[in-house]
Amino acid sequence: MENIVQIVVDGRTIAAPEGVPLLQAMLDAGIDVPHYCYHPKLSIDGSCRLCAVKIEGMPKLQIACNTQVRAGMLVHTDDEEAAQTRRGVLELLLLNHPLDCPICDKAGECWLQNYSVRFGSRRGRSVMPRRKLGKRLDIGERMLLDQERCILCRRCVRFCREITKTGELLIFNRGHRSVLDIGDSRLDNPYSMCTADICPVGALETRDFHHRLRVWFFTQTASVCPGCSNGCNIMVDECYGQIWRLFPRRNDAVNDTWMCDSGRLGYRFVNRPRLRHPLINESGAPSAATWSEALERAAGGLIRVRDTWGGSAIGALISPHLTTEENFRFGELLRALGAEKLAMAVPRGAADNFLIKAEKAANARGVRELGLVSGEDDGLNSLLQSVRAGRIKALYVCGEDLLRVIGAEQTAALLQPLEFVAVQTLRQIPEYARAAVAFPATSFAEKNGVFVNHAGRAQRIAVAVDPPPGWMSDGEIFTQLLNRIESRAERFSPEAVWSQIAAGNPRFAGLSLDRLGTLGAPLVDPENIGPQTVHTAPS
Amino acid sequence: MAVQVKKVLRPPPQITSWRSGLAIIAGLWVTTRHLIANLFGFIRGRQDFTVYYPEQRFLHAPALRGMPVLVQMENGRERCVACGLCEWACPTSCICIFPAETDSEVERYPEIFDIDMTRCMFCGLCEEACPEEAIVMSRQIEISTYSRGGSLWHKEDLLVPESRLRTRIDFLRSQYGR
Amino acid sequence: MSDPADISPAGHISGAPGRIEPSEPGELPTPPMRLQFGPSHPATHGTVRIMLELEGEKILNADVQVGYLHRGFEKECESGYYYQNIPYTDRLNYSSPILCNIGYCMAVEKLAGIAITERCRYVRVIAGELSRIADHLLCIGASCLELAAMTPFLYLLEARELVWDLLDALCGSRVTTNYIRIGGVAADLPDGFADFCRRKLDGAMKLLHDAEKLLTGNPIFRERMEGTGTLSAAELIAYGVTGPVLRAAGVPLDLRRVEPYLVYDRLDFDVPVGEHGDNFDRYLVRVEEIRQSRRMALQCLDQIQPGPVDVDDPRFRWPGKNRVFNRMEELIDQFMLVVEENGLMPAGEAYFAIEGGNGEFGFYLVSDGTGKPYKCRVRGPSLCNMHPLARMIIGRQLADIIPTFDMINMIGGECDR
Repeated sequence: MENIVQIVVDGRTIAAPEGVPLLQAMLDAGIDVPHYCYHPKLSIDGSCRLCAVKIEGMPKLQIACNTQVRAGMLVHTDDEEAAQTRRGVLELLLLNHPLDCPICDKAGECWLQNYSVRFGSRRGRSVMPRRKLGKRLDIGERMLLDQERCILCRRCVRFCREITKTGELLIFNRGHRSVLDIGDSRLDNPYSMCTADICPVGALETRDFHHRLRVWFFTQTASVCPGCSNGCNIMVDECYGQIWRLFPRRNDAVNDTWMCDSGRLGYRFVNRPRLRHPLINESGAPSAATWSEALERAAGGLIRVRDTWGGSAIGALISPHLTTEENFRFGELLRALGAEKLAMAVPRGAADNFLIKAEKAANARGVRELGLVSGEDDGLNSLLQSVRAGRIKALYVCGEDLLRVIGAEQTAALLQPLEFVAVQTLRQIPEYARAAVAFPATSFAEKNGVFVNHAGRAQRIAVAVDPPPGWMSDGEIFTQLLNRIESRAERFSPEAVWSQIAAGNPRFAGLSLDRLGTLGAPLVDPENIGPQTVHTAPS
Repeated sequence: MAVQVKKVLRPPPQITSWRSGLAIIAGLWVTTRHLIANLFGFIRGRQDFTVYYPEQRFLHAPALRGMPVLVQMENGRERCVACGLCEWACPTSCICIFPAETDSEVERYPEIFDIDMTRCMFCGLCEEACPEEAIVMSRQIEISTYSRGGSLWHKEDLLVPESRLRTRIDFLRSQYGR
Repeated sequence: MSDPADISPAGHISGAPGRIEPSEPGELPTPPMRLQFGPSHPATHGTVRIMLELEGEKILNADVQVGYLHRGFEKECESGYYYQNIPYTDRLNYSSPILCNIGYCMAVEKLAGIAITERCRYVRVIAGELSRIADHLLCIGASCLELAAMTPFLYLLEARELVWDLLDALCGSRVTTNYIRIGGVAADLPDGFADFCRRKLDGAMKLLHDAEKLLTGNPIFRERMEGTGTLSAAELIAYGVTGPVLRAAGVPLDLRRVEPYLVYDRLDFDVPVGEHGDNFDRYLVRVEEIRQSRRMALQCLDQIQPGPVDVDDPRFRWPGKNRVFNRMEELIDQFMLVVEENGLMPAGEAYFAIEGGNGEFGFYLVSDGTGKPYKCRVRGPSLCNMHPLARMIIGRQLADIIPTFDMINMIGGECDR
């Protein structure tokens, strides 16, 4: 059990658990003590000496990262000796540092720049030429190394050794000849790009972001990675209406401070050619249409099928990529149509025992928690059988996961005999050309909502890129269709729908959006993934 | 204190008209003097104050801040490495840079470097911010075009060989030592 | 003189015009004539709109409306860093832009607590006084033109061209000077500047002397200027007027004398004051101020010592390029100062006023600790000097508006911002 003790830092009393590193206690209290080699998720190195502070009772300066909190400690971070030590450390680090700021991608988020301005000597004294080492070295499929910029904090070495347990990066030689390099294996582990996050300078750079744009142009938004059901917390960097980069943010309950490379690179689909306006297929080929035309056609088609063959002739493929609120509204729409055969196609891939999960969709569990699908395969086989047996005449397909799960040929064959098909996708899919109506979908970066990850943690995503003007989000499309079917006049508000979900479903009880905050919160009894409580919609 | 307050001197009120007549004659003498100097001054080599533009051009000081241009090195490439400081320093945001990677030793170059001259106010902050001596204020001040699009200068239009920017670069280098 | 407490704002002119009762029996009552002395008018330089109600040539009521050159300077300053706002200050008093630069930078330096070097003080005074000479030359010149004295207009503009040659040599631009920086100046005085300055100023003084010969004794000029636009010192003070307009009324208020800044406490100069407070005194005060500014500039050129012109403060002043190219710390500094990553300005507020061409030119800066000002308020002297214009012209002739408005020297940029 933790024992909380009181220590005094710069005259301020803070409470900290006994035995934690003093630096961590100070950082948690909001005191920004400069440090390079310390990282909360890696072992303690003590190599940079930058976090030196004066502790009363100890004769020399102590490094705060390797000093454990004990009751009654009196710490001074602004001591003259500590300030001088910091200046000295920074001067020595800058002595051999190459004059690369104009070409280095880290400028703007570089710890060396920030600390040098605040704690450094601000005046260069050295006139000697700087050491020459390797630059822009190809050390991995996704990573580049600049040995001259490395300040030898060894964070990347510890990362490769302790987190990914692959040990690619090593420090060779000793003393002033120390140099960072790869050993026998290249830096190709599935988390290799995390080394660029933890590197305080621009020594380790990702190829993806190499010479792309300056970070001070970015608008940053907190969101959740859509790549798999782990739901790693990320920050989305946006500029000029596109996404340029994703990087992880800290969530000790989900991903610590890491994310996998495929998730990190999985933002390109947001920028790629997207379906920009609804399509209608009346004459054999899809053609552009206005929103009202497409909505009329879709509502008309669904109502026609319902009236002719009954609601049970309508099936739907729910997307595990849409938010919980949007799928809730979709469920309401399908219930209003009387549809019973609901399924979800979740693409699956390789998993590991760290962060990468097999389900390559962010909100599969969210759909299950809403009670929309059931069964081992989320009702997919049952739906496919019904379609092939001719009991389903109309299908509303959200997303292109069907293609990834059953293949392109099967998908085309599946849709062929149907009376009415409506699809909602990010891109224009040739296999869906038969669809009577194709709606453009929004990506995770273009809406507010909640994803539920594999462990039952509900986390919020936020708008990072504005969708084009006049665009309807997926939830708005469902709402508009519902309006036409049930003669309502509603708009889609994720906040209102979430309150509805939280009020009606015992699993989501007490989970207001404020409570979810930026780090999310677990559902009630998340371990229990037993028979779902079917949500009862208010009448 | 070496600062005095001094009353301004007014000429006496004009009681008699001969004083005002004298003032008019004095004024006419001034204008006549100028007239003779302008008409016949060419005999003694006096130049007109007016500069007959565009046949004559005014010789500006080396400090002249003309249009911003990119310095072109001997190998034909720009010296700019697309660090983005000029883009950020510009008060009117008239510079647009998209960096890209090269295979040469200089890893970074501007794939796109546009300056919107209709927004540029020739303040010279981009030149001050540049850590590479890559963008300088040339002596070009005649930049009118017939179309609005002609005022959007791309990288190819902005490249000027260093030899043609000697005056400005020498002036800048005289200030480097501060 | 009327009681200053009796000051009432000029009437807003709207609605149905009133009536002028007939002065002689047999005449019919007439409505006064409404004349819009509009924003687009050769004489309203700086764009001012004066709605007039006239009875013949006599002004019954005047409604002075400014704001036609409002460009949102104060709002624009909130979205730029401190160094990015300096070119915008050029556009405030565009006749004496260096004085605006000086005012802004000194306010920022007061806020940040930066002490500038000795040489920088002298250079700023030299540049500022040259700018002031240009301002006054233009004021008198444009007034002459509008009083149909076109010859001295050209003489004085030629004199201004000579002064502009000096500013061109200093900073590369004649009007949009952008010369002063936070903690220093953009570039030190070029070689041979002292002689160049003396030569040009001598030429300018000759032309000023000629123009004076044409104006000061001239009966037509004196008839138009003497006794017009008069307002007592007490009334002017009540309106908040400063600068040559106030000094012409006899009040020796000059910030360079009463609150010396930079090196004004080491210079010998006279503060010219008038007596009657009319347009002619304002003209004489301005002419004398040109001579005093020249005297100050020449004294500075004598007194200035070689030395660093920029303060050696890495928190605010961008490092010299030699060091940016060769030293790591300075390269980092250049990056951080341009991008203002750490918001190096301390939070707080500061007001600093200098003696601008038209009076007390003040900047009130509020900082919230980031690199951009939270608020930058400009106390433009022209706005305060324009307040009494209506009082000055009501009851006078239509033709008296011209010399009065010209001698107030309203610069649209600093009046409307």
